[in-house]
Amino acid sequence: MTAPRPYTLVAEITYKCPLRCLYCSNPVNFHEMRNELSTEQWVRTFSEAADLGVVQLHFSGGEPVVRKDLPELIRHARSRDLYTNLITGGTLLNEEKLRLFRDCGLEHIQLSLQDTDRKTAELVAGIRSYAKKLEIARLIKQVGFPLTINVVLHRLNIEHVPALIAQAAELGAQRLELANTQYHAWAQENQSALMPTRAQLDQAEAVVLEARPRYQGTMEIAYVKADYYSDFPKPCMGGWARSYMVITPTGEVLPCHAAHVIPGLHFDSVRDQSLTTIWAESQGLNAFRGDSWMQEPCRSCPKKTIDFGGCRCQAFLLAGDAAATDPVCSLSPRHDIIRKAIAKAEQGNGSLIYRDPKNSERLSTRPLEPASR
Amino acid sequence: MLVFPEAALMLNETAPEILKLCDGEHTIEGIVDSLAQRFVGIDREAIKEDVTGFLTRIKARGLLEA
Repeated sequence: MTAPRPYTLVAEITYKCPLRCLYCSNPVNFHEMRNELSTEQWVRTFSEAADLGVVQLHFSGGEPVVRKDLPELIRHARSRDLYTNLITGGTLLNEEKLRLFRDCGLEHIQLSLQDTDRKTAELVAGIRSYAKKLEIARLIKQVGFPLTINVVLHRLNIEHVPALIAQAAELGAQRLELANTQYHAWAQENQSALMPTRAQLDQAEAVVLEARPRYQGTMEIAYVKADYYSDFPKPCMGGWARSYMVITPTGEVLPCHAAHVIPGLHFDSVRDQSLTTIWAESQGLNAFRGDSWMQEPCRSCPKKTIDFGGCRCQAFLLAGDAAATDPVCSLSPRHDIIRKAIAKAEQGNGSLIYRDPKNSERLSTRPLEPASR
Repeated sequence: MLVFPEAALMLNETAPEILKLCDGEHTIEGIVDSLAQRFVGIDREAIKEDVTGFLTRIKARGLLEA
């Protein structure tokens, strides 16, 4: 199969992060992946990405600002005409760094906020960070960047959507992304504490729909639905290894943040091969391209070109088979798993497991048991 | 291609010409005049309709500041 043209590269340049967010998408065993790519290896990778047709580069992590060579990486990406976005928790930023990033050509900053309520925000982030983040949001605007505020939604903050919208507008954000938690990695560990109720979700969606026209042209409000409560799955990443690629701190090229969890897939590292070769030939990337891997009901479904059968990682985590129809789909024979998970999470009040090296070490030694958790 | 934080728009041939003139100096009339001079033989009113239509659409998406 000929590989499609990739448009977007998410470069997770480090797993180091001062925040300990309960819903972090980094792999639970991130502490085992400490051998980060060098500056030169990233520079070469960005050049190869540009040659492949990538136009958009997100610096992500972890906290990308941890890397001392970030200015150099931004400068190189701009020299290859890549649109550059910094996805940050903000706590390590200051005015000097922001000015330096701007002078290197950084085009956009996406800042995460956890809540409008300080106590909940810091409960979720696992460190004192609320005031600093607001200060940084204002500095980002002062220095002249366009700003997206990103808030991951869950049971503890979803009722604050009206306040989150007002706060983002007050901070001068051009874009507010309200994204319901995707239950992979750390979020899956904390599912029973994070899963919202149906009533909470309906209320939040209604608020967003009502607010959108008021902010049209000044602030875009993006809303990512909670897919457990949808009738059909999300078109995860726009299809497996189709237009997105995620590169981990150690250089593995993945189709998404979570694909590590699927057994039997091999993902190559830009340490060993060129990105061009990996994008075309990687066993892991080719595993779910196209539709020949699909089972029923996906195979004969007219929606297969729209949602691509949903999320492969979720199919594995919940149904135990990465090639199965995403159990979120109401047509899936395993849809009962989702109903049970919702019922369990709605009444659950689980303990909180923070994303930090200590917990990572503890959880890494535990064997993975899909579908039974 | 017009690239922004979470997506990109595939532009036709003339849209980039319009965007290049959105420099804080040109008014809409100025943009239309400039394009009318370059695309000889095309009705000025038709150009104006295209320009305002395009700019209205991208402004509504927050991709253009007045």
